[in-house]
Amino acid sequence: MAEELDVSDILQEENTINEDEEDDDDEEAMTAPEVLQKLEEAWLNEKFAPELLPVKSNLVECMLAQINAMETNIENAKKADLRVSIHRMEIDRIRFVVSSYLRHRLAKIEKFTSHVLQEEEKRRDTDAPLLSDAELEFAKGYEANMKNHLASTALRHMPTNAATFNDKEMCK
Amino acid sequence: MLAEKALDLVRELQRSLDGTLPPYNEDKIRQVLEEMQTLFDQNKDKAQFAAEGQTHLLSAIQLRHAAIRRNKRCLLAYLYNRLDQIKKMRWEYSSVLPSDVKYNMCEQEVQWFNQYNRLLANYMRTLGDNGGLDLTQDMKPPKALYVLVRCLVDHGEFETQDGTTILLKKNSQHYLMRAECENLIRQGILEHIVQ
Repeated sequence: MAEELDVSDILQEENTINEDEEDDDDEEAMTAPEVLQKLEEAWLNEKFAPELLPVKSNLVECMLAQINAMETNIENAKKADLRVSIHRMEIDRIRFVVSSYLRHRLAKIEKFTSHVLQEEEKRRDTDAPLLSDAELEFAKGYEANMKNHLASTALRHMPTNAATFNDKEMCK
Repeated sequence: MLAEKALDLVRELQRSLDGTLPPYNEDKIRQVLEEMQTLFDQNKDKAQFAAEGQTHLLSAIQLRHAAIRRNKRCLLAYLYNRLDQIKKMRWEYSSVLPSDVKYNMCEQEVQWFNQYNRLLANYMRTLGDNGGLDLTQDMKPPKALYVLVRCLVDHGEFETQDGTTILLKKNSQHYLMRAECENLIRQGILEHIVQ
């Protein structure tokens, strides 16, 4: 599976689909199959770990860029070529891995929002942040939205000594 | 019994959590809140006497306080799990919920849902370079590029990625790209035929 992925390699070998070569995966001195392997590792770790792991945004971004490049290549190729459908299938598989990885992260962020935000606060300036910028924004918005909802439906109407949201009290 | 109504709410939710959303029980929520207020008022009265030295009142105060907290916890659990259910449906049905689900939501829940949609859309838009990545697609690992599907309803014309238009008529069968028709399958317009 990994060998199929490196578009530029295959294209060079066969030299029929498209002449352009992409160099965008060379930035980190990693080839596309290596990135994919790292991403799959990250995906499995994320999937089976109970807590949120540090984000691997560079892998995700790299892979998404790779998908885009592959899609452009395919568009330029002949329609009846067998390799086109093989590449399409591979793109589908990669896209599934990326989406599934991000979905698992989102689910964890939604479940442990305040804890995740507290942790993130502590390690925001280190080189292994827990959340990407977009995820941080999502988490903050989600927390505010949830608190706002609980306050407007119930907490506001409770007697004064119970009317605040107490994180410790609510953790099960 | 104290805090029984709150427990009822939780039970009611538990009974119907298999993919449906029960109606928002505003009446009962109000009753629980009223009970909390009554307990609180009673405690306020008694607290003064207790402070003056009638220590035998303390245990009753404590009991009421515990009941208030239990009510609060049950109520919040009820609300939170409803949101959880709504969230699950957002992933299943995309941003437009079926009308029967919408009917069972209260106004604040609709607001919450809209806000959630906005957050999710903003997040998905930041992924990748061109226009984002739809995370609600590709829910299952792909097995084949094309799938055989049958139309369950008259849906009208459908344009595929390569520009050809096909007519989705009831009971007609098509061979389509999985990525294109995944949403339609989940919405129940197409049915995936597994051979």
